[in-house]
This record gives sequence, structure tokens and C-alpha cells, in this order.
Amino acid sequence: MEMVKRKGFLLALILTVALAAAGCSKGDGGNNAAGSDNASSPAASSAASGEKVTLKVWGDLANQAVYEEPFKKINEAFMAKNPNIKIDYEFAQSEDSLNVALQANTLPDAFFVQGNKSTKTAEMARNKQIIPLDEYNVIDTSRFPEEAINYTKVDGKIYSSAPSFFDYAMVYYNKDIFDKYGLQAPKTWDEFIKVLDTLVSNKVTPIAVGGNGDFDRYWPIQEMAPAIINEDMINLYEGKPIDETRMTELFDTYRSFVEKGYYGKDFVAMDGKAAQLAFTNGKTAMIYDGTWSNNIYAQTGLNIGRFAMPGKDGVRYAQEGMNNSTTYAVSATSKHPKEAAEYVKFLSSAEAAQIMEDSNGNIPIVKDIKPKDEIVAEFSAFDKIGKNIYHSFSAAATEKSKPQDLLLSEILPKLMTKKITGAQATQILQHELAKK
Amino acid sequence: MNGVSEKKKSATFASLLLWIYSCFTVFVLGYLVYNSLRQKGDLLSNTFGLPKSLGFGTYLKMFTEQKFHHYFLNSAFILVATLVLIVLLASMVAYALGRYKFKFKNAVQMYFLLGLMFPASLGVLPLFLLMKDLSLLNSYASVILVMSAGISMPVLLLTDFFAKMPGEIYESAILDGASEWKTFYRIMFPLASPVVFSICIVMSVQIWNQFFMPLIFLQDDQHKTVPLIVMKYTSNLMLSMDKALTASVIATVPILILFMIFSEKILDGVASGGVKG
Amino acid sequence: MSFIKKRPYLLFLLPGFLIYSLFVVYPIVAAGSISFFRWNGIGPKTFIGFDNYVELFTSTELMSQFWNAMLNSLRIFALTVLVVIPVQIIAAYLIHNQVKGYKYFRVAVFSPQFISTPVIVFIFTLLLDSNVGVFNKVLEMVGLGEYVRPWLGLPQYGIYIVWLMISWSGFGVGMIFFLGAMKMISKESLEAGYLDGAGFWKRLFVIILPQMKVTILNMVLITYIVSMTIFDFSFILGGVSGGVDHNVDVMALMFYRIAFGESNNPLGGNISENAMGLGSTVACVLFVLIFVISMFQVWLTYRRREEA
Repeated sequence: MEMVKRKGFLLALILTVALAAAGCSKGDGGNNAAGSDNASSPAASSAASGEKVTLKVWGDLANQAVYEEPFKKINEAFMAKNPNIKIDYEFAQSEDSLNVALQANTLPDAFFVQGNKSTKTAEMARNKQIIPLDEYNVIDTSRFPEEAINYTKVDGKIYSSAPSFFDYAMVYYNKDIFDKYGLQAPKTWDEFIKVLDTLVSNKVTPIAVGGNGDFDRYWPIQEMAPAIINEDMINLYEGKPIDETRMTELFDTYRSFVEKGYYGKDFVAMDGKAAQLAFTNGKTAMIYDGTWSNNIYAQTGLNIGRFAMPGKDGVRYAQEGMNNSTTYAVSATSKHPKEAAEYVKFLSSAEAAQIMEDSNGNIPIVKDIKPKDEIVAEFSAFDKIGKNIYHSFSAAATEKSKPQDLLLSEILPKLMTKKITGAQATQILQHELAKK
Repeated sequence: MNGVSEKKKSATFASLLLWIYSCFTVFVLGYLVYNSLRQKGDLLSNTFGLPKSLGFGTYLKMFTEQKFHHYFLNSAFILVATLVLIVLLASMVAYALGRYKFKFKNAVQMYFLLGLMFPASLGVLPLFLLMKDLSLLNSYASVILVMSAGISMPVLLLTDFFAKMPGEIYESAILDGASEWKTFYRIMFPLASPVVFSICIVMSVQIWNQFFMPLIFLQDDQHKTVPLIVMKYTSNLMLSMDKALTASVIATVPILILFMIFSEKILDGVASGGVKG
Repeated sequence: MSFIKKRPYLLFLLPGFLIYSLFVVYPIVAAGSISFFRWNGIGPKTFIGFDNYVELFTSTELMSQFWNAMLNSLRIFALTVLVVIPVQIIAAYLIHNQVKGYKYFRVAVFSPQFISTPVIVFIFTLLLDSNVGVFNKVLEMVGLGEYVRPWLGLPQYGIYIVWLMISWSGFGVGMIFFLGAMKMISKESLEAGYLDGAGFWKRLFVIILPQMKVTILNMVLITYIVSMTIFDFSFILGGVSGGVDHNVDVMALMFYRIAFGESNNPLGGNISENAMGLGSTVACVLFVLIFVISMFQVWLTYRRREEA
């Protein structure tokens, strides 16, 4: 009796395996067909003989929830314009899958890149894994500011679509709390300090910071750096020596915000999500966060305002940082470089950018894009785009020295926990810069 | 037997601890389910506090808009196929190691442990090239093969049980004229069923939650699995909090049912398949 | 054919051996060889012999990270062996004896396994946060408001919080193995115990535990391997740098940081020119650390079996 049951069980097992195997091979069959379809067309490609070309495009997996909707529309718009091209767009690109594809020569026709924000783009270009796009005229250079064009370039050649937006870190504030204490969005550095002091004296935690997150504790200094020493950031970017007194002033300011209790007592133990929840639950009056987080705050139904960090020179600063939502490159292994370049060209166009804008509400850097709503107008209420401290530090990096990593992993945590002073932080930085 | 009353007394304190642990766990999971029923805005601006409304809206959306069942079927297929293969392969290897004596047995045993000792993310490139050569990219077979090759832990745990099984059973079966294979799958394998089922449980969790291999090998949407869809929302957790919580709950239910079936089998073990020494 | 007939074990060994060798061992060996190269993961590789190993063991910065991560991994291992495994055995024993509510325990104890780590951490944030956490609200209500803390992130308890989370969510795995092992123990020896009048706990220590020695040793080994390779809780709680002052850093996270960390950066970032080379080196060192202990374990088990 027992034996019969067991035998039945095993039979079922074997049957399932057989079925599974059949299922798999069927899966392969389908795939192979698609694959050979791709492989057979190169000769016919580019000839534009009216034959339909399928382009494989990879989107950013980590941001699938954000980009899914706009890219669906962008791809539809593109295919309507180019009936001979079909876009097979998959959110399959992660750091891992890209590395594997680069090594295995299985890159899709087009995929998303971070332009000059990451040395990876240059590395891929120099290893001839992505192709220069100058001959395909993918960018209408008259529409874009110089920074956007530079974003796409490696060694003077264009390798990706141009960004139509930019991002920066700013301050979100709770209007109800501000009203309660008769405060207004500050326009100068002194006003900003006054707002902070008023809140502290009223026992309200002024700003939420996630001290336990690598980047959450970094945003404050990205905002402070241009607001306090923009000139020095430019010098560092251009490879000139830094002014130690002023660099120390920046680090000391970062530390003094902790000492004066502007972040509350337990922020070191909070991560970025806890900080965001503290702000959305009305426990703090402000939060340092990027323009990219706007949709989180917009959903809360709270009365929220935004301002760019006012500098000591009386100017409100944004920081450089191109938005990479629409910047894509064409891989060297693509069988249809012309069509892929056509797609990349479309991503640079006002039409694609407008779709992205209407969906996500970014800050346009191109004049012919209509901002989504008044919030985006509020985002644009800064006076000057300052340097991004991370990029300034990266620019000073060499093979041996990595000041930008040191800033994130050593200097900021130690300043935040009051283990070093601003002057010591400057010495750590100088020591790193001296490594050649 | 006098066991019952005496068992009750001495087990009370330990049971109490188990009760506390279980209640805490149920509370945590309940809090997860509760929050998954809330509106996103409410959850963000009134995190601790009475909800404005509770409803299954997000759950409904997961099936209508996000086609969750589609990813679910992919995952289920991969799970069943992998589980069957892994149990079969692992118990055969463990049987060979436990039942028979041969040269270099220790070395072979060690060899089967290697798989546990290296970060999987590092070996992925050679594996990918291998799959490319076998033209198995973007097919379920790639993921199933890679995952069912991960037999290190089941082999380690099963070997001892086959070794401990009384030799008389094996010998009498052979004397009865049963082949080596028949003896294994008709007699020895069923006898190990409590351990086999506990391995089934642990492996199904690993397979079900595995996102790295599907991420690399199954790149198109129609092949994607449940963990990838959960990751889609958890990677932007604050923005899609409602969906992240909901997706985690739905992803849990089927595997929980599977768990209950298997764990029932383990408890059955002593009644039907227990070893008679 | 007679070759196989004489060696019937080959029939059972070969299918698993082939698939395992192809899809598990070969990739490991291939990846391990990268540690002899200087490679950023994209460009050309340069063979440099043992230079990566020399760099790892001579750089004070890398070594201090290494020892810190190693110590944290060992802390997780020691605490799990000393605390979690005994409790798992007792829990399995209770369920094995079908104490009141055993069916409910079984499901409750195992279910955290099924939920993805980011969501587990997020739910604990919702429970333990200083502003919106349930636990702290309860503290306030009972008049202990001064003890309100964001418990999940307190740097001084960092690695212990990681350990608690791992233990809570992984508790069921070990328990289910112990339960399976208990079910394999023969009825006769259990009944002999009853006849001897051995009590509830005595039966566990005198009859059951001795028969489960190998399972327990195997679980200790698996715990060791897991504490050396676990990564996600530390990563989610402390980011790629492993928390302020690396307080939640573990071995696998250190490997990840060196091999992939710098390029996974919302600011873009620079890829490190030897990320993959040095990352593989860390992985190989980690491998040796695990391998040596495993050899010891197999030797221990083997010796026992010979005696028996």
C-alpha cells in the first residue's frame, strides 16, 4: 500500500521533469526563432528597404516604476513615426546585467548610460563597446546648453542622446509649520540660519536627515558646498589647489548643523526612509532632498513648499547634475546602428522630452519644453547653477587617490558623529589629493 | 503512555517562549498586511495612526494593471521544475555518498560543498557565456539548470541520513532481486522523506526568492519572475510603498501554502515512513 | 557496463556530478582566476600574478576593513551557534512532540522567510522608528517616553541588530531541518526511552541529541558559511559602506563594495580601475576561509562515521 503511493509520487516526479524539459525546449524554440530573426537581418538592415527592423532597448531596472509609463508612450510615439522600426523595450538593465552583457558581447542595440556623470561611459567608448553618434546628427546642438552637450561627449565625440532635464538637491518645507511660527522660505543664508534657530527655540526639529544612509547624509553638503564656497568647487574641478581655510569653513558648517541640533537628536540612527517619513508625518519642518523625490511628497496631500539653498553671497544655488532618464547610447554590436541612432535622436527631441515631462515633472534645461505644473516652476526658482561637490572631488581623482569616495565613507560620517573637526577633515582631503 | 501529562508540564515554559515568538511574528506580518491595505498618501502622512480607509484596491491593481499572475506562473513553473530536479539530483548524489564506500569519497563530498563558498554574483559571467554557447539565454531552462545545480546544501544534509539507514533493508532488497536503482527509489528514498521534505521547503524558499539568476538570464518581460516584480517596487520604496507592500504579501501566499503541505508531510513522517531500526 | 555494475554508486553520482560541475564549479574556477588579473570589469585584463593578494594584505586600509568585516561575520556566527541553534532544536522538539498550538508555531515561525528583505527592513522601520514607530508609541503611552529611539539604526548596536534580523527571519530554516532529523529517529529508541522512564527533557538530551550530532554539526557549518556570505541585511541597513564607521560591515558586503560598489552610485561615480580583480581576490580569500573550516568539518564527520 505504502509502496504504491510512493511509486505514484515518483511517477509524478518524473512526469513533471519530462514536462518541464518539454516546456523548456519550447521556450528555447521561441527564443531561437526570435534570435535568428535578429541574426538574419543585418544584410537587409540599414538598406531601408521597408523591411521591419526590431531594436532591442534596455531601460533602467531600478527605476522601472518611474519610467515605465513615459517610456511606453515615448516608444509608441517613435514607432508611429518610424513604421519600419519596432522597439522591443525591456527593463533589464542593472549594474550586473550590463557588466555581463559588456563582457559577453550581448548588449542590446541601445541602452541607458549616465553620460559624463560616470567614468563608465568613457570606459565603454574607449573600449569601442558603444559607437560615436556624430555622423547620425542625434543632437540638435542649437537647442541644448553646453553642459548638456558635454554630458554626451567622450574625447570630443558624441556617444548618447542629450539630457533634456537636470536634477538638484533642495529643501522641501512644511508650509503649515512655517506659518505657525511666522516663517517664510529664506532667500539668504542668514535668513536660512534664522529659520533654523527659530524652529530649534520652539522645540521643532528643523530638518530631517537620514544619517545612517551613505547618500542621505551626503545631500546636505551637496547643497552647502556651492552655497558657501562655489568658487573653490570650481577651482577643484579645474584642478587648481584648494583654499584650506574656506574648505574648513564648509566642513565646519556641516558639522555645526549637527551640533546646533538642526537635525534632531537621533538622526544618526535614521536612514533616508525614516527621515522622509519624519518629514511627511509633520515631525520635522524641512528635509534635504532631490527634485527627483517630488512625487513622493506630492502624494502626501501635505502643504509643501520648496526652495533652493541660499548662498552666503545672497544667490540661491542649484547644483549641476544632468538627468539621465532619456540618455541612451548605441552599442557597437548593434546590427542596426542607423535605426538605433534614430531612436537615440528621438530621445533627444522635444517630443520625447515633453512626454517625460508630462509624466514625471522634471526641470527642463531646454526652452521648448513646457513645464508640467507650477511645482516645476518652483523648482526653477534658483539664481545660479553651482558646482556639484561630488563631481568636483571626482575631477580631482587619480588612479591612486579617490577623494570623492573618502568624502562619502570617511569625512562625512566622522564630521556627523563629531569625531573630527572641519580642519582635520581638510587635512584628510589634502592628504588624499597629495597621493599621485 | 504517561507521556501526555508529563509532557505538558515540562514543556510549558518552552512553549510559552515559542508562543511569544510566534505572536510577535504574526504581529509583524499582520502589520505588513494591514499597511498593504492602506492608501499611499495616508500611509506617508499618517504612518502611525488610524487609517482613513482600508481596501483591496492595490491588490486588484496588481492583477489587472500589473498582470501579477503572469509573473506568478513563470515563478511557479521554475519552482516546480527546479525543485524536482534538485531533489532528484541531490538525493542520488547523497545516496551514493552515504550508501557506498569508494575511494576519494571524502574528496568528492568536499567537492560538492564548493558551491556554497563563493559569491554567486562573481561566477555569473562564465555562466552567462556558457548559457550563450548553449543558446539557452532568455529561456526558463537556463535558470532551472543553474538553480538545480546548486545541490551543495541538500547533499550535505542528506548524506548523513542515507549513511545512517540500516544496511539490512538495502541488503534484503538486493537479495530479493531488486536492482540498485529500484532499491533507491522504491525503498531508500521514501524512507528519507522527512528530511527530503524539509529540504524541499528550504529549497523552495530559496528558489522562489531568487532574483539574481532570473535577472541575468531572463531579460524580457514575458519571462520575468515574482521577485523581480517585487523588486520593481522596493527599489523605489517610498514612491510605490503601497505596491511594494502588496506585492510582498501576494508573493508570500502561494509559497506559504506549499510550506504547509510539505511541513504536514514532515510531521506525517514518523507515522508512515519512519525508519524501523 | 560491467564497470558500472561493479561501481553502482557511479550511476547515482554522475548526473548530479555533471550538472554541478558544469554550472557551479566551472564558473567558480573561471571567476576565481580573475583574481590574478588587474581588471575594471569592462576594459582589457592584465595578468599580474599575486599582486592583488599582496595589495590586499599589505594595505592598512583594506586590512582594517577586512578584519572589521571578519570580526562582524564571526560575531554573527558565534551568536547564532550559541543562541539560535539551541532554541531551534528546542522549538523543533516541541513541534515534534506536538505541544499545544504546534501547527500554528510551525507556520508562524517559518513565514518571515518568504518576505523580501527590503520589505522586512521597512516594516521594522515602521515598528521601531522614533517618530512613527509602533514600539516607541507604546513606550510613550506607558510613560517611558525618554527611551524613545530609532532602534533599528543605533550605531553602537549595529551588528547585533543585523544578527537579530537574520535570526528572526531565518529561524525557521534550521528548525525545519532539525524537525526532519527528529522524525528520522527510530521509534524503537524513542520507546526504549519511555520505558526507561526518561522525562521530557531527558529524552531530548539522552536519546535524540546524540542521534542528531551530524545534523547539528552540519547546521553549524552552514551557519558559518552563511555568516561569511550573508549580505542583504547589512547592505540595506548600512548601505554599501556598511554603516557609519563600517559598524554593520560583513565579509560579503566588503566583497560587493570592492567589486561592484563604486559603480552603483546615484551620482554616477567613477569605476575603480581594478574593481573586479581586487573583488575576486577578496572572494578567493573568503573562499579559502570557508574551505578550510569545511574540510575540518568533513574530517570530523568522517571520523565519527568510522567509529560508529
